[in-house]
Amino acid sequence: MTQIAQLQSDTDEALMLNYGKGSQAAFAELYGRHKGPVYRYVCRQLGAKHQAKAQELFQEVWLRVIDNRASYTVEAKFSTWLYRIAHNLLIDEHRKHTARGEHLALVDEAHNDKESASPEVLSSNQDNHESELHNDFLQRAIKHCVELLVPQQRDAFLLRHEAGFSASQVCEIVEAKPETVKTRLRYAMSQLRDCLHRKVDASETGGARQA
Amino acid sequence: MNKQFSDDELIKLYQQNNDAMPPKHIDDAILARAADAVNDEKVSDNKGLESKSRAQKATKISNRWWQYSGLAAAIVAVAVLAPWQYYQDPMLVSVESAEVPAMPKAKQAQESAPQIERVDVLAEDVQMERIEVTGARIERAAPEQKARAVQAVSPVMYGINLSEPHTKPNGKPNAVFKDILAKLENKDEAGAQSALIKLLKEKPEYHDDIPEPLEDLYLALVKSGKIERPETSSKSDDKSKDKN
Repeated sequence: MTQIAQLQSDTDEALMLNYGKGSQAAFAELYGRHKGPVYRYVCRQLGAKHQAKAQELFQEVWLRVIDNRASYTVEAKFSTWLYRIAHNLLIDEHRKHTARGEHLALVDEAHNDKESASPEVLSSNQDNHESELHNDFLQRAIKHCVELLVPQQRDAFLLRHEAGFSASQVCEIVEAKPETVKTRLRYAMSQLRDCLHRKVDASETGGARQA
Repeated sequence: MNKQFSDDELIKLYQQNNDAMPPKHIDDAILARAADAVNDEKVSDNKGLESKSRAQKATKISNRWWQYSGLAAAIVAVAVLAPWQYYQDPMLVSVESAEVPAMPKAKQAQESAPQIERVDVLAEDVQMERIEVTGARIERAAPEQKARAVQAVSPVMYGINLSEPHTKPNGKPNAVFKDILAKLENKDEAGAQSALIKLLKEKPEYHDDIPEPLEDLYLALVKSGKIERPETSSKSDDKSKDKN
């Protein structure tokens, strides 16, 4: 019991060092702390249509952590190191998609599908449970809008608002200048606002047309 | 409803119900992998020494192989290139260096000889020229050079007057007059006179080769008429004129 309490009070870096020395419990604690944010970061980056790929990539991130347990040194926060691994793997994945020309096609496809179909589906729901479903609609809409962001802007947005890193930590993870990251974040918010606005307008128009 | 969303509202909307978690089977797979890695490491630590020693042996063997091959290559290279060096080196050896061993022998010869015979040595023999020749020529020239070195070094070292007019290579006059000189040194002037008269009667050609210590005696004999000077003997005349 005291060991569990000790593990819970340990920092990420201490847990990782303990795991490097052979403590399985330390890794379990570390995994428990970060699995959710990392999983969501990877899933949002790849989009809802690539759930299987996202899970595969998520596992790959943790396998890299396991493989590098002996060489890990406390040069930065563990979370920064962890997300840098995830970031690099995602960049590789985006490059593969870009090389095949699939990524843009998928984005366009998703964009067209959601833009055209979802307002009608949502509008039908809106008729039944308007007040409850409106918030649900917005939540799903903004997540979809996040998927439609340019990868670099989405990356910055997710690291900042999904993983909870500061702007300077985001710079460290994506290895970009602070001005660049700030610009990406500003454009991301602007894009999300426009996207959500369009979706709301479309839902209202669809609902009125259906009525 | 045409609402403008603020940044905070957008972020709040995004973070609502944002609790997606990895499936259970992925959790299990990752944790199992982590445990396996640690266990494997512990097992490998136990086997580490054995494998390490094996690896070291393998490395040593591979290193030896390279060493042996390198050694063999070096031997082959030496075997191929050595004859060339053997034939090339004599080309650069000078006669001077071949003479070096002859010098001590020459000194020994000079030291052992009680009296050095006068010899005619040409100036060109005295000068030691640096001549680069092939190995075969060196072998042929070496004995000659040694002999020359003996002749060349000795006069210089002992300061012998090479321009002595009646020095003969065969050295016969000195030997002939030796007895007469000995008698003169022993103050046996009569014996010396009779010996000189006898010698010059037997061999008139020695009139021109009278040594300096005997010249006074010779002139006295000529004046007294005991010896007749031959007509060809101009040198002695000159000497007598000089003395007069």
